[in-house]
Amino acid sequence: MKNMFIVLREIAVHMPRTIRLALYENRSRRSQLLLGRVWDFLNPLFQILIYWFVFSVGLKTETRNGFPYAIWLMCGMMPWLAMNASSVNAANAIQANAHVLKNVSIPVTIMPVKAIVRAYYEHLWTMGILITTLLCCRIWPTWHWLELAYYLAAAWMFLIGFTLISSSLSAVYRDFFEFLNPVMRLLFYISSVVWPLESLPEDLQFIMQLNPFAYIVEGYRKCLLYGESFLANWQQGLYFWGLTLALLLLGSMLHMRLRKRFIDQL
Amino acid sequence: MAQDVIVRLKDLTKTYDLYTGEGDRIRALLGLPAKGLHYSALDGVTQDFLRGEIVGLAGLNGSGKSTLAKIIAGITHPTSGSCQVRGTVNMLAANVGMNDQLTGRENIYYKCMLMGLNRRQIEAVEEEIIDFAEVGVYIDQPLRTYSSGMRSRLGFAISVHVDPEILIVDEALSVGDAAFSEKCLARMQEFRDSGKTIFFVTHAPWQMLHFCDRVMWLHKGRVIGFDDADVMVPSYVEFTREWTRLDQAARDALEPVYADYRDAFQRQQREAWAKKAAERAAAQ
Repeated sequence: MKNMFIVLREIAVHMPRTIRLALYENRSRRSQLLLGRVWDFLNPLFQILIYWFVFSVGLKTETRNGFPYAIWLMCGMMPWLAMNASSVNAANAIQANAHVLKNVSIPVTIMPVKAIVRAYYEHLWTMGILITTLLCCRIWPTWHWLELAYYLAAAWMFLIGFTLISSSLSAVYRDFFEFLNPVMRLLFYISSVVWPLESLPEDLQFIMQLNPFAYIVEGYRKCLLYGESFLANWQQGLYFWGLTLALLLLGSMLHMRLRKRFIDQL
Repeated sequence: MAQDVIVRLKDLTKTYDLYTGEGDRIRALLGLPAKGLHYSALDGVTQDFLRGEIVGLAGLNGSGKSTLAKIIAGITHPTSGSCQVRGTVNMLAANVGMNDQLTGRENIYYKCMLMGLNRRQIEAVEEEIIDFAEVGVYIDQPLRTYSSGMRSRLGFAISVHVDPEILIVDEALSVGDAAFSEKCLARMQEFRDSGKTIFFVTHAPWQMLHFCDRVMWLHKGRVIGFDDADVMVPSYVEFTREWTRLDQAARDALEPVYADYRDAFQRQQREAWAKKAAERAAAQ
């Protein structure tokens, strides 16, 4: 418990610095690209086109819950891409910044959080496209759209807990990072990004309901498309926050325990 | 802590664990018993450093100077014992936190942020840094187009414009040509005059003699002596001259002699501590 407060306080205190560093790193990535920021749009666009081709053209899926498949897919893909980029990059963050951590006195937690900030900064832009697309398809805003803020906060708290564990473990145990990639790919297919809960056999549906990523992905759709409040789904919400708290507790304990030592071993 | 003490080391010990394989490394991290050697980088260092003094750290390679510097900077943590630091610390590192894709000017912002400055503080020193680095029109070009000398000059210029209470210089002054080196030393002189505490690690005895108030001589993780620079540096120079002449067997044979020095020094430190503690107790 104490560790969790120490870690969360450290993250909060250094948040302005973390955000500024993240923005500069995004700028450095863009400066290498002729098309710069356009790639922030093109990357998700290509992903959506691929899955749209597979499912809509190949597997003849036309509508989902009464919405065109492409729209339904987009609403799930955007939050997934942000969470996926956060998870993978944050897990690698401590090793990728080893040179800095070994020479500058800077809180270690800045590194994974910075990866989350970078991913969500790009998410801001892709959400722009998503909302424009929705408006073009005559799906008008409702009050439920404001609940995106809740899902954003939920995703952040979950990701902080998750990446505290994955970044600490990856720093001392490189195999963990290699292991994370297939795990994320598996989670993708049970996160209801490309198919909904109902398309799984009934006795397997609980897997998707237990997947915290699915809670966020479905949450975006509930806000933007179905117009369902997060309060209506309070059981899964309770489970999600319980899991998040557990990850934060475990993650901060692990992080505090390992961080005094992994600096010497990076 | 007394008002004028800025860094207090007490029984500071740092052990690096050398494991036989990955498996043992993981086991040790998880707190399970593991096979491996323990390499003692620092072994029971106890010392107070005063505000405003320039401390030289002398010793051969592997004597523990850099480890001590990194512990004071808060980068690595002691295995046992304590290191209390009162004030902000900055360790000079010219080549750390430089981003190849950003321009020189953006790098000033990036690196300063990394070191904890906010935007207003950075704007205040930006022009000064550019002047100091002498990179001219290159300042708005991407860092990848810089020569290695320009790169380190810029990195160094950024490093010395962060304004800490304690500055750690770990063999970081050999940047650029003679004129630039001179400028770096002048900058150190400025820091010194403004009352900063500086820890200075160098293999150049003349720099230490010229610059430091007191010098700590480390040998294999222990303190052999800590005294005024003009006392310590000559005896250290004599020691290194002797040491280079000796072969490994003779060096090993000399170990007990140095062990005696160290023990004597530690005994003396402990007595001083006990005396201070007794005085404090009597005063209360």
